[in-house]
Amino acid sequence: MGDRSRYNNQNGDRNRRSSYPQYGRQHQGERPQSGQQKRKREDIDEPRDDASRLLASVFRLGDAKPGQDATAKAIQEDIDDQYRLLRRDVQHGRAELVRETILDCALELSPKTPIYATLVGLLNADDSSFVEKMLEQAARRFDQALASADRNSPRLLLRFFAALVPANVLHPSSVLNSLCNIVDAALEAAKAGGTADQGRRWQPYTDFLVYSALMALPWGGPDLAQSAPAELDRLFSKVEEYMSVRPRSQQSALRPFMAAEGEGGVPAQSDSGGASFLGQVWEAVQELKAEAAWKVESIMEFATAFEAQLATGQSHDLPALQAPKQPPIDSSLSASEAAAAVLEAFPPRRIIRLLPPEHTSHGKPQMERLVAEEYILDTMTFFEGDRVQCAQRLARLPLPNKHEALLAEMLFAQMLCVPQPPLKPLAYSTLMVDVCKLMQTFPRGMSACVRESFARMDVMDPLLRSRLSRWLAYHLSNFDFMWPWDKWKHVLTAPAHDSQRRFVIETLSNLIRLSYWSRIKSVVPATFHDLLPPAPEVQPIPGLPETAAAADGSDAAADGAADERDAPTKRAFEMLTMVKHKVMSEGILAWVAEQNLEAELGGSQGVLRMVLRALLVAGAKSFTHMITALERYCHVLQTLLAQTGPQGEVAMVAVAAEVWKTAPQKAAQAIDRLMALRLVSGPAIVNWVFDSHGVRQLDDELATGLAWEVFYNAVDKMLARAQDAEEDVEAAQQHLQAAEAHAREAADLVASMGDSEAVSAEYAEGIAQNEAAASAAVTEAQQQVEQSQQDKVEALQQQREVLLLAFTRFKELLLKAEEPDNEHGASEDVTMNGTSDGPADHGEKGANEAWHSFTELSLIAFTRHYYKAVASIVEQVEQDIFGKEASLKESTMKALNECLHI
Amino acid sequence: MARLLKKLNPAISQYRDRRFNGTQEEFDDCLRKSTTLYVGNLSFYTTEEQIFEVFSRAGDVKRIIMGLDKHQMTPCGFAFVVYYTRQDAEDAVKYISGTIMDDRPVRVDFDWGFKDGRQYGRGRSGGQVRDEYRTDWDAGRGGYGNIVKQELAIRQERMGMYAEGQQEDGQPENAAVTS
Repeated sequence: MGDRSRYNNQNGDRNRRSSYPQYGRQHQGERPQSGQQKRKREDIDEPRDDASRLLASVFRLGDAKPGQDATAKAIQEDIDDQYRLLRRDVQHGRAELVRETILDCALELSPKTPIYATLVGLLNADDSSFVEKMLEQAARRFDQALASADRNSPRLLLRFFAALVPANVLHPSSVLNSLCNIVDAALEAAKAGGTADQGRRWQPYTDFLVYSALMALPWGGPDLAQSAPAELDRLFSKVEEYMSVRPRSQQSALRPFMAAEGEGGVPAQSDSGGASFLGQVWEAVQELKAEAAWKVESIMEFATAFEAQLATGQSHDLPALQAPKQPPIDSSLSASEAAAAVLEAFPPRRIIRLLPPEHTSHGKPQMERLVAEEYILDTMTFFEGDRVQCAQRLARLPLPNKHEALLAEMLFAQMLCVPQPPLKPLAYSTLMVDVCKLMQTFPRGMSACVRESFARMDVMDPLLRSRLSRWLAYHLSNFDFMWPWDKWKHVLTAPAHDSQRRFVIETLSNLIRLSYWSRIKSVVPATFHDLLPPAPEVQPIPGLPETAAAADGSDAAADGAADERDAPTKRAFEMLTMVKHKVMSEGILAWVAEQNLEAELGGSQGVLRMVLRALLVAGAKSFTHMITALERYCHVLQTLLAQTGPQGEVAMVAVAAEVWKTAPQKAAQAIDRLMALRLVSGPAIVNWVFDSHGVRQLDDELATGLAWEVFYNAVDKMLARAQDAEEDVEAAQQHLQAAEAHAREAADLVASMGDSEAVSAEYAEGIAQNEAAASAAVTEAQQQVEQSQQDKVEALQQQREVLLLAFTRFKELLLKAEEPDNEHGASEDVTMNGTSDGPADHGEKGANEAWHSFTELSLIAFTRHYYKAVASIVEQVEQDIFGKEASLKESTMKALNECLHI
Repeated sequence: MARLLKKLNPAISQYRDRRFNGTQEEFDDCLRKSTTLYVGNLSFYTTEEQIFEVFSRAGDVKRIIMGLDKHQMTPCGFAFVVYYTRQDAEDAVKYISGTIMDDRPVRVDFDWGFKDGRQYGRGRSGGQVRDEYRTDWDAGRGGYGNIVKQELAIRQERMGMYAEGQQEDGQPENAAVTS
């Protein structure tokens, strides 16, 4: 969309994420066809155009009518009616529209593919050239989709082609030949491939090709196998060969759970479904062939009902499909960047096996489950934009068995996918809320997924833990905060570092953020009140003791006898009073100089701390108050920062965390805003995070949660800035092109006028001016392009810096803990606990182990979450940071290495 | 990506702000580019922090502007949320609209852009127009609608006077009648 309106900020709040100046709305290119669909009242009676009428009726084909079930018989009648209607449309010159509409529906309403295939079969019996053109179109779509790294259309088109075989539209051998071609492309790439690491450059793509080909087969049904056994055997042998030469068959770097916990090892082994997924598909296909004679109950079947009619049609040969051997990825990228781009374009399947298979697979062949998974994923892909409809479609999938448990597991798997979920986690949160209302027993499956994840909290990726906790809090806030807390009461007696106990605290904290403290206190059992974080309140700046309270704050210093406040607090209170009296930045700076506060508060950093503390308290009332306070006094902070240097930035982060220590949301907001105002840099935040108590100890969940939240916010912002800068370059380039085109026109006009003498001098002058203005605009646009490119380079450089710093600090943190003379996570702990020979009591040892494992997991989580940005610095990370003499444990290095080469 | 959904629902919003100065097409165009959202059906007691907590899950929130009662300067049940990017704004509409926030279903819709003055309620009594005419009891939005509230107040006053008339000394019987 290229929306630039974020640069049209009014109140001087530019530079939140991007340092690029304003320009832009005027050259948006043509706007999307607005006004075509008017909603004005007078338009209601107007007949809808053919396209929408056709679409509406084809779209609804086979859906249950209100108040009825969609029985096979009703659907058959529906198909027949639809066929008659469409036949008329085809005859009346709307063939093109009909083809487009059927293709769109057959692909995007994936459970109904066989219905549309039957419909095409019926039309084929009437008019075979109509269908021939449709097949050509579909083949063209296939090529285009592969070239543009569209990972849905090619797969769904293959499925549709397979479904056209039972409808007597396509010759089975031609479909199988095309599938063979596609597997061939994958096979050749794999044979030429090289090592596993080089394979990252193409394997996600070739796995995708083979999966798309294999997964189409069930829609062809027994016809494929019976009519063209030789071709099928050829396909199978090619797939077999591909499976034996592809470099990777599973990826531990995609595991949501890092190890087996107790006896339930299945979830621990499921990697979100990268390379391992194709193995499952291949197994299921073989099983389908051997044991179920290609019959899949989950795929609706209508061709037999219309057999006689379909038989009168003429079968076609599918235009021979080919697939490029290499994925469509920018060839200028480095090897690891290209690998990351391929992984992004062809991401893992997203599977976690959390529930017992008897609930999700019902003892049926594996293919039944895979087909149901496809329906769920396709529906999510195409109806993500309309949550209500998406939930309804998911709840009413035409499946032979109950699918609540499977749906719950799939939604969890999507949400908790490594390295990235396909949609924002919020999308799953609200979708699950809707599904809960539509499917009576869905909450049970959902709760079981929580139970299984909770049981593995020790080994769960820390980012996924937080995601789960945030989801749970949100979910409960939609259902009156009801939750069986007592099932978790064992955490009440667990030590502070216990991962489950920490998860419960984190969830309670998230609940408070969504609601308010007293409410959450009232809905949680009293036994859990010990775990409830304190009410989120600002750490106040105390005023004068009451003896002097009557005096106006501004001349407060008068009586110091009873005043036990320290100097920074006194000064902060004075400053607070000045802010309340609307003293402006200059006034504050003058006051700082006049009172010689630098000397009094221990240097400019002390002044900075005091000022920020006062500002945050002054703006404590709300998000907007905080923004206003920081923006109004931004100049003061900038001036003081110029004196303190980068250390002042770290100090500011610390002040925000201290002022809001009981309210992590407010602390994170404040730090985020400081960064947005470019008062605090990404590296300063990272440095604060790694020195903070929350990262070095696990005894204060609020502090730990805040530190990591702030860390990820900061890295996200750096990435967002780089992204913004990139978009700015594109916009500037478009702007330049438009300006150049305009200049050419103006120049042409001048040139053409030169020949004729019949124009007035006035007109000639006007044209000349116009030309001059146009070429000036070009120059300006060129400068903008250069400037934006420079900004982009800078933003990318800063992004790399912050990532490298994070890796460095992770290493230091873990190394320190591994030092033999320092078994404790953090040095402060050692000095406090004194005697080294004393009984290193069990609790402390447990705490250290828990800390160590959590910190290691955090490093892994960080690495793979940002795999795409990290791809550009992999060599530096490996050589400069972890390649040096002192390095981490072998097991850690191995896991890290896998994530760097995800 | 989803061709069907786009074709089926081309309209961007059902609501038309009558204070918008321009044609329907300009209005739609504004909505298509806007990164500002209108959030409605909030409780008067919902805080910016609660709004932030939900909306920041859809993306980086730039501003939150609380809708205020123009006489009392207190929240009156709506807000504007401004994002940095269009994508985040679109996601918020898709994912949040119709869900529960602070125990109420909220409405989230594209807005054509915040201008100073738009933060105030447009109802006669200072709040939102819908709170004038509402006849239901809504504890989160100040009880009954303002017109009903006025009628109730008049009735209660009359009731009080009846009660006074029943007293020989003309004094109210007890506080319960008048409160």
